[in-house]
Amino acid sequence: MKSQRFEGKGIVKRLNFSANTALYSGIIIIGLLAIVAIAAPLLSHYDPIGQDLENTLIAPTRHHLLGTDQLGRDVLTRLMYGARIDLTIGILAVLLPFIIGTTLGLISGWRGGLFDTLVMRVVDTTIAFPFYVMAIALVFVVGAGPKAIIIAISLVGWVAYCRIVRAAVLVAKELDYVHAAKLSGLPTSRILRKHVLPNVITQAIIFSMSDIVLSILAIVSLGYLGLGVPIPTAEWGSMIQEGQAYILQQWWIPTIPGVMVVITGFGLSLIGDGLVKRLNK
Amino acid sequence: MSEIVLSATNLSKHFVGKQSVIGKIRGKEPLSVPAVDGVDLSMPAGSTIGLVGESGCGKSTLGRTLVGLYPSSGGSLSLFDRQIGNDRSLEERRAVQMIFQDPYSSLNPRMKVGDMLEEILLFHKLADKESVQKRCVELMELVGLPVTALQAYPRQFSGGQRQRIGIARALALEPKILIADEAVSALDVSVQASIVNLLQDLKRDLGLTMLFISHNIAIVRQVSDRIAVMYLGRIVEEGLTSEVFNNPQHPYTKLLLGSVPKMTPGSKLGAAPQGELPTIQARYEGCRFQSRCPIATSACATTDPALIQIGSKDHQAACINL
Amino acid sequence: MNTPLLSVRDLHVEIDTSRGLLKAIRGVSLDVNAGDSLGIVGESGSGKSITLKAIMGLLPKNARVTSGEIYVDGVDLATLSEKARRALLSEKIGIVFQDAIAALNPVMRVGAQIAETPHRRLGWTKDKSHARAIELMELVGIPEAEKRFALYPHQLSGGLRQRVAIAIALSGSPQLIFCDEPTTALDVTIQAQVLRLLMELRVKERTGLVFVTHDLAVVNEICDEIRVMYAGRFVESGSVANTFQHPSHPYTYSLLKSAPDVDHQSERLFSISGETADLTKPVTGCPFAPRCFAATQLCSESEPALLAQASSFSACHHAANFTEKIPADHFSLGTQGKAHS
Repeated sequence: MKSQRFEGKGIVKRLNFSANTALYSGIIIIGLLAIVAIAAPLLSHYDPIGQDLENTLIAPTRHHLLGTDQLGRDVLTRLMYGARIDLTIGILAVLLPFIIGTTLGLISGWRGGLFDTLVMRVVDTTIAFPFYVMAIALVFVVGAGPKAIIIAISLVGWVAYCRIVRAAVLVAKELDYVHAAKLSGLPTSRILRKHVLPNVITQAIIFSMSDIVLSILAIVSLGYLGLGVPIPTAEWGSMIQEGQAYILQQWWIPTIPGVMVVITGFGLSLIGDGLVKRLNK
Repeated sequence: MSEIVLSATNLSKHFVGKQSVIGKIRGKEPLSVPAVDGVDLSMPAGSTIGLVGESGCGKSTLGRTLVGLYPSSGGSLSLFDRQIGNDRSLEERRAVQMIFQDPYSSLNPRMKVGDMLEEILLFHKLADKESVQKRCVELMELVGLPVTALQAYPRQFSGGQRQRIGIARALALEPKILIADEAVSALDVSVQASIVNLLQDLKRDLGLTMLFISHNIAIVRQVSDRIAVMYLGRIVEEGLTSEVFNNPQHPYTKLLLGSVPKMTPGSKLGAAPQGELPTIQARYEGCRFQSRCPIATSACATTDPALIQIGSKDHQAACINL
Repeated sequence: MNTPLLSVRDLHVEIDTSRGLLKAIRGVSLDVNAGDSLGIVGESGSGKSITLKAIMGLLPKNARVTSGEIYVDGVDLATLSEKARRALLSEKIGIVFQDAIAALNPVMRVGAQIAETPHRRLGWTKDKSHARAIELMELVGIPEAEKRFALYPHQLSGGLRQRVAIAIALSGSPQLIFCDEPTTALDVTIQAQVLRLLMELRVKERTGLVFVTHDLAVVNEICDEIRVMYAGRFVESGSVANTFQHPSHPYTYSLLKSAPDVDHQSERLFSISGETADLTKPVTGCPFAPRCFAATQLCSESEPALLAQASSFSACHHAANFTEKIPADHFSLGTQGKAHS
């Protein structure tokens, strides 16, 4: 049994933000993004889809801070309008799975038995399904665009919430305060609502932060595959796809949207990190 | 003779093991473990009964079955001379309440103390919107906590304070019977005494009957009028505290009491008990204590002893060799 | 007079906590000879576990020894290199913790864990170490040792695990065993077996025992000497017989009074009111004064030193006559009307 001394992990230790630092930094980042997205028309006088074929592929200048793309559209403007699409769909695409998955997980974990077994088998089947295959199929049925994306993500996304909440419920229902609530004669619906749910939902909320990132990635990927929001609408994924041909000379056209995805993901995971620390105190 | 407020007759509680789908198809019986296996217990009004035993004896399970947390698997339970089933009415639920062992998991971390009490009081109509605040204050005073506690969350309290909150919650329902399931075992030694004293005071002032479940035999002695010793799902000895402690009859009781370290000067360890604590089996041949019993005979392998009177009326033990 | 196996002089330990610098140990000295049985008692937070860990070099990363000397078999540990220190400590002292399941390696068979020290540190062959492990398992009373050799910790009961932990502690043939609440988590009949085992070891192998616990009854039965610890120091030190009969510190007296005795039924249990001292703040006066029934002005001004009294050493200004100052109803206090812990 050796005594241990913690040495040499200085950098990692320093990057280990306190709960509030992480939370607030994340909120600031996402907040700024949201403001920019909302205020896009005010911040930029350019039309995100308006072409200007005389001014294509211009490098960043005073007039076009990030230059223009192959159709003369201002890249920065498209980035800002693209934020609207990606952030909105990202959040919407998480909301539905959150609600469905949490509800199913709550009931399933609490009741157990046949219901739970059935739900778990559905979960297993859904996980086995390749997401993009289904997304492609959906696009054929429903047509490309936000609707298809949200449906596709929801069909698959609820599973994670269901499992997380179910696992938390399985633990919670053995805790003494739930026993005490039962002993005090409160009806099951009340117990689930006021005693179990508030304690299991925190895990789902924390997961939803990374889920938004995953959704945005999915949207961007679908956009890149041409299955997402149809061009010419500005959206980070399609911007990457359209711009990839120019990567050698006008590298900023496909790269910067990708950087935006990274920044968004970073901000969201900071929030998630901060929430973990705060909620687990 | 005081009335009996709660009595169990041949009470059993089995836990059934999980069964695979294949097992079901093949018609195999799932494994059923009798944590409580035929217990008779009577609680006279106003008494404190101490329930002792080691890990696996079933005392916690018995307590939870009595309080209605687990449905019983056999036998019967009577509350105030009326039989009660596994589905209890609200009144029956209120009458028997429990105080839990772990102060850190027995309170909802996301609910303020006051809100938790109000919810119970309002639901059972023990107070209305106007009087509920006053009643909460009364409950805090009863358990020795300041009124400001009502606005706080459980995490702001120490272990002993949380147990007091748990007691307040139990008392909010105005029960007649309290079951303390290792209520002080998770607390620091110095805090244990104050909680035990509190329980005793409340019991006396409110006219309650208490079942005090604990593995700490020294504390149980201080607190109980009567004592019941459990081993592997059965009560093996039962009677007045002074009787059982001064004149233990069952070999397990002697073993148990002999193992407790004493404060008397010059006390040195007695002969060490043999063997490990066995785990509960589905079925037993004869007496459950044979494997560790210093006076076991061949008859013990075929007879399952029942509780028999020992001398004075208030002392029973389950052994054929007495 | 032989050199003591272990000699600690004026040990000070500090811990960095989120609330500030905690002076966990504020000047502890003790001597242990072969065959001694010493009990250290105190409430949680008194520093009794930290004392053992500090001696063994097992302090957590936020704690450190700030002053004091530790001599093992006459050798000053400060003069040794880290490696030599660990070698000496593991050769002379074995340690048994409260929670065997945490102290045992869950992915290693128990027999292998017992055989590890002979095999690795003493350099014995695998066969010899295996045999020694079986010997030790039998010594600590593990039935069917050969069979159980190959089991993993989670396959054993709590009592058996604790015996394995004791066997591991013995595997280096130490002359002294430290026990940190080793039986607190065990059932009472199993506790009796483990305690008896420790007593036998003491007699048969002349192993010294330092037993940290909050349970005075256990100390009464297996220890000869007792050290009562409060707020990082010993407040009373003497033989068990003398100290239990004639405590010369109000804290010891209160502890004795609050220990429920299985042989007697009393009306009420006594508990010591108030909370343990906050050692992140500097100590002015006696740390027990706020909770002490015999405290006077002097007590809140100057911290008493551990001095010889009639039958033991005590750190109290009123050691000689505090028993006269006990309020009439002090030991039958109610529970209402005070800020409670």
